[in-house]
Amino acid sequence: MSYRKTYKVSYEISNSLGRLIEKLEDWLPGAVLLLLILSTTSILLLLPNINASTESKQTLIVAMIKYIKNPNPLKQETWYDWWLNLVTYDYLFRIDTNLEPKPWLCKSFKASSDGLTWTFVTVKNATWHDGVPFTVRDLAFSIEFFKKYQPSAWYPNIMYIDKVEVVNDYTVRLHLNKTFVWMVRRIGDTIILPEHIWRYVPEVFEDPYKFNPLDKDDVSKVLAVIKEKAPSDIYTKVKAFVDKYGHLRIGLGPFILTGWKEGEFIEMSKNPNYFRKGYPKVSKLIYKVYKDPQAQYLAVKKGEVHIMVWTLPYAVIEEAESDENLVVPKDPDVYVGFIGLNTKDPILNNKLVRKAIAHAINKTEIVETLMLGLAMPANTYIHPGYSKWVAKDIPIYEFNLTKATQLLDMAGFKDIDGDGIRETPEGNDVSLEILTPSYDPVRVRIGDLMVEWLSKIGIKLSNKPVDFDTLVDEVSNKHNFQLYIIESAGNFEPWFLATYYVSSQYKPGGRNPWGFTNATFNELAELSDATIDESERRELIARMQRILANEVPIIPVYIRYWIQAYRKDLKGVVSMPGGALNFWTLINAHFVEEGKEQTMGQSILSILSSNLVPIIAAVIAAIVIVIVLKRRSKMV
Amino acid sequence: MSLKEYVLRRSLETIATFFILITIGFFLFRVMPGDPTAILLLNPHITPEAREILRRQLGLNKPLHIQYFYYIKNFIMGEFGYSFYGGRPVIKLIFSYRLINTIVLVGSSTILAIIFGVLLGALAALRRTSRLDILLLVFSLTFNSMPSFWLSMLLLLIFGVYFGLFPLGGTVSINVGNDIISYIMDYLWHITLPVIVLTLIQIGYNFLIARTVLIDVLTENFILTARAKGLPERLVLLRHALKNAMLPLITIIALQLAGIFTGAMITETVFSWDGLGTLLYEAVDMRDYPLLQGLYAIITIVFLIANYVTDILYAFIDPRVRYGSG
Repeated sequence: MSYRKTYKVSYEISNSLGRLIEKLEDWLPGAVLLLLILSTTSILLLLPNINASTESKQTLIVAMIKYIKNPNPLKQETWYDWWLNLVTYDYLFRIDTNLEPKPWLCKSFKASSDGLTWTFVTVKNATWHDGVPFTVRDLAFSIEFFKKYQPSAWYPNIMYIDKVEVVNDYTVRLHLNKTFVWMVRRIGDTIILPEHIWRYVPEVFEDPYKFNPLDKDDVSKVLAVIKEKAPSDIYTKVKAFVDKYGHLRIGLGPFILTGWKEGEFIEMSKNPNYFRKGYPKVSKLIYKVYKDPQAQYLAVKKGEVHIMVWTLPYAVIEEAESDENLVVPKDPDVYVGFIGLNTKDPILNNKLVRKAIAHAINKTEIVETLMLGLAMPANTYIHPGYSKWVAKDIPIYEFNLTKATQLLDMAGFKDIDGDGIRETPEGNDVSLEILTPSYDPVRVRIGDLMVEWLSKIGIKLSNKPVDFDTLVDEVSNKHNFQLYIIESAGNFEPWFLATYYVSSQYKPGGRNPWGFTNATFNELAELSDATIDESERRELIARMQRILANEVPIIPVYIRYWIQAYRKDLKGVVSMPGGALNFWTLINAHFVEEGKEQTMGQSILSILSSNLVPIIAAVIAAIVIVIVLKRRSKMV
Repeated sequence: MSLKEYVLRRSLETIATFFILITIGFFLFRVMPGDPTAILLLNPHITPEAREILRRQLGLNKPLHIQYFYYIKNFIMGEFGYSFYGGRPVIKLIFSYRLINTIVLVGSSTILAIIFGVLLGALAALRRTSRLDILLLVFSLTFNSMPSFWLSMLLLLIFGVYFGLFPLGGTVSINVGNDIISYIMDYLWHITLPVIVLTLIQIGYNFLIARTVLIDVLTENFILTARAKGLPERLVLLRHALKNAMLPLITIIALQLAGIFTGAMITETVFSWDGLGTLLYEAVDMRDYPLLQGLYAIITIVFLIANYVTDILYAFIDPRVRYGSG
C-alpha cells in the first residue's frame, strides 16, 4: 500500500471517529439517562416475577468445584475424578457412616487363619450399564489389569495379591504373597472394570492410560475390536449402549453417565437395573461446576443447585443460617489439622520439650475464637470418626502453661541470662520456627497465636508463612523444618497408622518426615499388620496410639467442620465425617414435591409478556425525557 | 535501513527471543518448589503409596538436562506431550473449546474496552476539566482500581441471585436446546455478566492513556497553529491530534489484544467460565509441567507476534523508527 493510500484510509477512519466523538458528546448524557431509567424501571417491575429456573424436581444437581480431570478410570489422582467413579462404578464394599467398610457388591467374605487367602462371594443380580451381567471374572480381570499397568490409585490396593482364583461366577479366592490384614478395606475400595470392554483396550492403545472412553474416535476404535473379537451378543449390547450414550465409560454403579459438557457439567441418569432395588431415588444426577466457593453458595441459595461439594466460606455462614430455604449441616472433615515436630532437631528431640509445646497450645481458643466455633479440638491420633479404633485412654494435653513451664525446667531448659528466653543445656537460646501455609489465614493466625503462647513459657518462636508446595518440599523432601502446621487425612486412618510413623519411612519424600524412631512402635506396626483377629489388632493399634501420645511426634489440633449447605426440600441427606454429600446421600436423596421445569427462554418470555405495558410506558417516558433534554441543550 | 531489512532483522530477533524465553520457562517451572505429585495430598481417597508410583510414571526421576533435551526436541517437532492429569495431549487441551471461550469472553470485552476507552478518553481530553471530564475520570478510576473478584461477586449477587436475571456460572445451561440459535442465545445470556465486569475493569486503563496522550498532543504548538489557521475543532482533532496520538495507542492496543490469549483467571474462575485463564491456573496449581510448558509457549508466541507486528506497524507509520533503530 502506498503512503498516499494509507494516509487516505487513516484520514477516513479518524474522520468518522471524530464525527462519532462529536455525536457522542451530544448524546452521552441522554443515552446514560435513558439506560439508567430503562434498567432501573425494568428491574423494579420484573423483580417479583422471576423464579430461579430450576430443573425437574426428580433431578439432583450438585455444585462441583472442578470438572473431572481425567475421563479414564485408570487414573483417579484428583478428588474430582473420585466423585464420578463413586457413582458410576461399584465396589465390593462401601464406606459406611461410621467409616467402616460395609459389604456392598460383596455378600460375604472369609479370610484364612494365616491371612493369606481371602474368599469373597458377590451378589448375583448386578449388571453392567450395557446390560452384560457382572461376574467375579470382571473382578479377577481388573486385578490382573491393575497389576500389569500399575495405576497409582488402584495398584497399592492389590499389590499383595499373587493369584486370583475364580471359584464360580460369584465366588473368588485371592491368594496373597504376604499377610495383609486390611484386604477388605483395600480391595473394597478398588474400582471394578468391565472385562468385556477393557480386555480389548490394550489392543488399540498400547498404553491404556491414553484411552479416552468419552472420545468418539477412541470409542469407535475399541468398538471395532469388540465387534471383531467379542461374542456377538456382547457386541450387540455394547453397540446399543454406545449408540445411546456415545461413550465407553461403562460401570456397575447406581448412575449411568448420559451426557457431559467438558469443563461445565456431567449428567447421569438412574441405573434402572441397579442391584440394590429402590436406589437411587432421583432419576437424574448432575454435577455442575462452580469454581468459586462463594459462587457455589450463591447457586445453592438461588436454587440453581441443591447441594454444594465445597464447604461454606466462613463469611457467609451466618447469612446462610438465616436463609429459611437452606440447611447448614456441620459435619467434621476427614482432614485433621496438626502440628508436626522434627524429632531430629537438637531442641525438639527432647520429648519433654515436645510435651511442653503440646501443653502450650490453647485448642479451645483456636476452634472457638479463631475458627468461629466451626471446628472441634482434636486430641487423638486416629480421626474420631473411626470410633472403633480410637484409643480412649491416651493422655490429653490440656492448655496448661504452668505444666509446660515445669516440663521445660525438667528438661534442663532454663533462662540463665534473664532475657525471657530459655537456654538449652548447651547455652543456646531456645528459638524455633513454625512453617504455616500462607494460603490459609487461619493456620497463619494459629502460628501467630503460638508465638504468643510459647513466649509465655520462654520459647522464642517465629512464624514463617510459605506456600503449600514449599511447605511440602521443606517438610517431606528436605526434612528442613522444626515445626509446621498442615491438614492431613492419611496418618489419622487406622489402617495407615503403621505406614506413617515407622522408622523406615524416614527418608526424602517418605511418610515419616518427623524422624520419629521408636523400636516398640515399629514392632507393633509390623505385628498389627499381621494380626487377622480384629479385636487383637485393635488392642495393638491402641498401644501404637499410646506411644504416639507419649512421644508427641505430632500434635493434633483441630478438625474443621465441612459445611455442605443444601436446600431444605432435599430429603434423605445422610451425615457422616467428610460432609453431607457422600455416596449415601447421592443414592438416598429425593425431593418432597414436584416442581416446574423452566428454561431460560421461557422465563424471559414470561417476564416480558406479563410486563409489556409498564415496559412500553417506561421506554416512552425515557425517550420523552431524552428529547426534552436534547432540545434544552440546543437552546442553550 | 530499508523497510525490508528492518523486517528481516526484527524477525530473527523475535525467533531468538522465543527460544531464550521457552528455555527460561522450562527451568522456571522446575525451580518452583514442590512437585506434581503433591496434588495427591489433597485427595483424601488416595493411598500413601500412590505418590511414589506416580512420580516414577511421570518420569520425574529423570535428570533435568535429559528432560530439557526431550522438551526442545519435542517442541521443534510440534509435540507438547501429554498432560500429567488430563491424560490427553496438551495441544488438545489448549486448542479446544477453552480457547474459543477465552477469545470470545476476553476478546469481546477487550475490544469493547478499547473502543469505549479511547472514545471517552478523546472526549475527556477535548473537554478537559469540564464536569464531563471529571465524571469520566472518576468513573474510570473507580473501575480500574476495583478488584475484579469483588465486582464479579457483586454483580452475581445483584443480578444473579436477587434479581435472578442471569445464571451464576458456566457458558450454557444444562437444559440448553439442541438448535444453534437457542444455544447462541443461551451462551450470550451466560456471557453478559463476565463481559460487563471485564469491560468495566479494562475501560479505565484505555481511557486514561488515550486522555493523557491526547492532552499532550493538544497542547503542542502545531495544534495552536492549526487553531490559529482557523481550522474547525473537528479537523484539529482528527488531522492533527489523533494522528499523532496513534503511536502510543497502537502499542497498548496490540499488547492488550495479545493478552486475550492469557485469559482472565479471576473472572473466569468466579463465573466458572472454562477458558485458558483457569487452565493456566490449574496447571500451575497442579505443577502439570507439560501443560504449563504448552501454555507458556503459546502465550510467548502471541506476545512476540504482537510486539513484532507493532514494531513493523511503527516503522510503517513513522519512518523515523526504522532509521533510528539502525
